[in-house]
Amino acid sequence: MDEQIKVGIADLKVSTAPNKIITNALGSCVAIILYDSVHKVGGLAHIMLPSTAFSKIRSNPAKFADTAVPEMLGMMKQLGALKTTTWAKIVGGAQMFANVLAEPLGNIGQRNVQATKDILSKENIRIVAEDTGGDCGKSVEFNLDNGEVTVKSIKYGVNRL
Amino acid sequence: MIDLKNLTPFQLDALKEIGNIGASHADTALSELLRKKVWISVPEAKVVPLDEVPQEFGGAEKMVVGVYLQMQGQISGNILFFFSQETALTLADILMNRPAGTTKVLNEMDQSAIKETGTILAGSCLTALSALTNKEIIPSIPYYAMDMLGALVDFIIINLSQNAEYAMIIQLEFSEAEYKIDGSFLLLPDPQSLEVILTSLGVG
Repeated sequence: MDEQIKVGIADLKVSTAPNKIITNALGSCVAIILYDSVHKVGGLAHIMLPSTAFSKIRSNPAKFADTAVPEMLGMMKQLGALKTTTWAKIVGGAQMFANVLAEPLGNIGQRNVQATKDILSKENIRIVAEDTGGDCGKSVEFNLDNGEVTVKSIKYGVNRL
Repeated sequence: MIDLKNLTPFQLDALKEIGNIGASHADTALSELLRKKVWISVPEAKVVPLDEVPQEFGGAEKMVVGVYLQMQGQISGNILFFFSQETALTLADILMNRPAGTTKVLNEMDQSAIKETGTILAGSCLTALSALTNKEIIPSIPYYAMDMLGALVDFIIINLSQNAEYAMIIQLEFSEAEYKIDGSFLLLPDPQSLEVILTSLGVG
């Protein structure tokens, strides 16, 4: 039986085929999806901030792009994944209220996307697809059978990555 | 920094009182604007874990229309006013003097009118907060969006998450019987400002 695993905000989960991992209502947050297509092992992190430098409360690795990626890679390894056959897809990082001035963190969505790309590049993980930026919320379903990521938004309907 | 988990019932009551006074101002302002008797519920002041904020107000995937404003000045924080799409359409009908049920899609004028409603509501609450605390508070211009609630609030959660694991939320619910409109108004002071508020209310 395939199982649907839900990931909340500042949360991450790893699993294997034929399960699905879902996360809902990404705004400025970013969903980082990692998949080893050979071993059919994958993970999804719903991060809030670029790095631990952005918060005084740092205990949760799933909260930050720079800690979520190594954490997920470690957990995937335990399920038999290899880094060399693992790729990434990223979704989210929107600015929901266009041009909000004096936002303390600037365009945090954009910064989350950039930090995600930086850490993935540091870990030598290739980004094969992305649906980032813009001004609308997105929900994500990640199919661990084939690595397909389905992104749903009210503005653009369904986008398959 | 104040520990939100350890706010006393006495402090929460003081915060609720801000909501009460804000509500009475908002009630008048909104009733005048809509030319209808608008009811505002007894306010709540609650402390919610950041990752549970969307669930607290109906779930991350709930489709809403939201107006966001930032509080700046001696007290800073976030204001979010949100309601269902049906309420947004009805509000647009009332504000633009159209018969109920006319509006099917919100055009730019409707969105401006809805943003203005947010400004008026926020203004009346901030006037109350400012008078009670004797602090200067300036609301930003209003911002409009229609999307999933979780997506609309996540940058507020992100901002708060730099210094806190919890959000202190003052919540007002408003409704109007004839047109069946209802919505929520949330005030989320920054953790530093919460300390300023409690101190100036004499319960710091």
